[in-house]
Amino acid sequence: MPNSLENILDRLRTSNSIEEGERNELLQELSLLQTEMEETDFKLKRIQKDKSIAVKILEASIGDLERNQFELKQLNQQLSRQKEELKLQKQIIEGNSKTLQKSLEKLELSYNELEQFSYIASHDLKSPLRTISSFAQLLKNRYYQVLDGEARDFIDFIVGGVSQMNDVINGLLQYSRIEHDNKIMAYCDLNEVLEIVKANLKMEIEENHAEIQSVSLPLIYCNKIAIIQLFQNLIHNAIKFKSDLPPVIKLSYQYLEAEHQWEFRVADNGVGISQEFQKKAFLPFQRLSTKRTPGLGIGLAISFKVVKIHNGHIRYESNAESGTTFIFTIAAPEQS
Amino acid sequence: MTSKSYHCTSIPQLKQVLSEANTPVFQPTLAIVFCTMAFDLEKIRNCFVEHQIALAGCSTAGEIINDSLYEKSIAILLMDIDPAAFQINLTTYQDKPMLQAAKEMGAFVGNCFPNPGVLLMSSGLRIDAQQLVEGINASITKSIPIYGGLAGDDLAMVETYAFTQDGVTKKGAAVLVFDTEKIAITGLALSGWKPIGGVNIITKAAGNEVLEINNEPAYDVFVRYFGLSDADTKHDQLIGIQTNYPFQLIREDGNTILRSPLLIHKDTKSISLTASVSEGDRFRFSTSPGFEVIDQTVEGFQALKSAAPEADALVLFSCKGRHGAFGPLLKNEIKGIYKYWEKPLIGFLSYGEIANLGADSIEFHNETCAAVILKER
Repeated sequence: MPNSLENILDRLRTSNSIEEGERNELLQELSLLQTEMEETDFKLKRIQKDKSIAVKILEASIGDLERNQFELKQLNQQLSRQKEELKLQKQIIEGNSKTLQKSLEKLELSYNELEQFSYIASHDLKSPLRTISSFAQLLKNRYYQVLDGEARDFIDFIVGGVSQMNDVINGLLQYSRIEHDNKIMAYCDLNEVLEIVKANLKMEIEENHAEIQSVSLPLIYCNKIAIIQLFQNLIHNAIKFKSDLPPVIKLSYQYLEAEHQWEFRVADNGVGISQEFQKKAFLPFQRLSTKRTPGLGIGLAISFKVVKIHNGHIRYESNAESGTTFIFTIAAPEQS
Repeated sequence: MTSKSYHCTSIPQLKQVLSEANTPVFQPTLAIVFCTMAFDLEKIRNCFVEHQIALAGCSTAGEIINDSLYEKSIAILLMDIDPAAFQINLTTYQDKPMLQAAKEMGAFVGNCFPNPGVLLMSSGLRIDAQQLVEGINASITKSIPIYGGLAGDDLAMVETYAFTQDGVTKKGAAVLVFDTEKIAITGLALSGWKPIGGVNIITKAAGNEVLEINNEPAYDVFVRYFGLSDADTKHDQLIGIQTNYPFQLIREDGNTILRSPLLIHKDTKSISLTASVSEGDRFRFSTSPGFEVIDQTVEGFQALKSAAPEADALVLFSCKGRHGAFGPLLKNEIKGIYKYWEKPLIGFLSYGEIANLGADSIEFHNETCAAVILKER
């Protein structure tokens, strides 16, 4: 409170020049005035303080918001940059993917064309071959008495050559049709397949005193005809390329959980195959033995293709002492 | 029920008041006393024990008697009331967790009368008032009137006390329970503080102590937001700042509740509130309301007048923060409330208020003025 008002009050209290009644009234009013001044003084100070603090709070709030905004902006910029980088990577991957897709399409086209060509070529070659064989045979039959020994040999060579060529064409035809003819998949009992193979190779098994040992085989999802071809080729090879001992062929299998694949083993006690032939053993028309054995050398190539259409792999382990084991896998339905 | 209010400025004066109080027509059985820390509380307690008057009260940051506000005084409300109509307990938090002590307090209240009503004065500068109300809420199975306040110590921020005829405690509460079938208790609490600035998040806290706000030390945030200088912060207490600018906590249901900062700790860069908070709690700072709030508050108590037109006595719990915000104008609020009933009124300026504001459970508040009407049925 201003000094002057307090002084006035003091003087008033002690003054004798004012009547008591009037003095009391004045004291009362001045007292009220004093209270009013105190209140006004307080109000002003508080408003000042409130204003100052409100400004500081708002400034600090705005400062915090601006800082947050700046951090958000920086984060946004960082995210934008990352987004652009990812976009670019996506474009590259899409580009590569398109290129790969085109290559695959080209490859498939080439393959289809090759298959078609093989089929048409071998199919179309069979007719003229039949003609050559028929007329060569006719020549032999009609003019056998007239022809000399050398001529007869020549005709035999022609007929033999035609027959061989026919076999090659049939083999090629069979090889080229593997994927085309064996698209139908179903569950198939391999024990039944083995019985069919044994029946098909009955003569070879009996003549060579071959023994086929097998565990109880599983039910697998496959193309039955192709699988019969596969087992037949491998078992037939095992009999053909026997050692001095009667052929013993053992069949076994296991299920590879992690890969979702069946793994089969066809093991023989034959003469073995040199490891140098690993790369070309499964190519068509390859002879892997110096022995003169019947066959075109197309069986393993067909076996390779059969395994391939079943999303599997095939290889062999072999040596002269213990024979050869063919190991191949067939994918279970999830991957087929 | 007859009641009388007294203002004393010394213990001898108190003794004289008590000696003269007892007459053939007025034989006080119960006293509610709010008292400055300037006096020896034990001596004051003994005065009432000697006169065999049951006692409940606490230390203050200012005393209210009838229509006036005082400091360094003793405010006394003597009541000539049926002793069977009330019970008093001095609960201590000394040897047990706050929540457990509060639950026991709630259990005591529930066991006193089928329909109790409570006046609660709690001491303890660093108690977790949130746990106090949670504990009581947990023990009470129905909605009952509970009003009270946290004791003060004239803003010394050292220690506060509650007392009954049985003792004085710096870590406990004086619990005065009325049988509301005999004594009606009606109350109302009003505030008026408004939020300012953006929403902040308490990112680190331990009980009452706020360690970090928006991942920044709480002390640094406070200094920055309030522009405090070294001179301002050289003390631990935030005198002049804290009670005027409480945290306005935003509840999940969108409602807000005020929590005043009470102490700052420069060493740990933290701030102690009057009640606990949790990490993740969102809040805004508040500004003191305009002076029109005084008139609005007085007008607001018209509702209490309508609910309880008659009174035998009034008790007022008014936050010390309101004194800081309104200064000498606070007495206008007190005068305005007193004028409704013009009956014996005592109250004190507290460090926090307890009221159930019409809800089913009690809440702890700051910056609130709570008036309680006592009327014998």
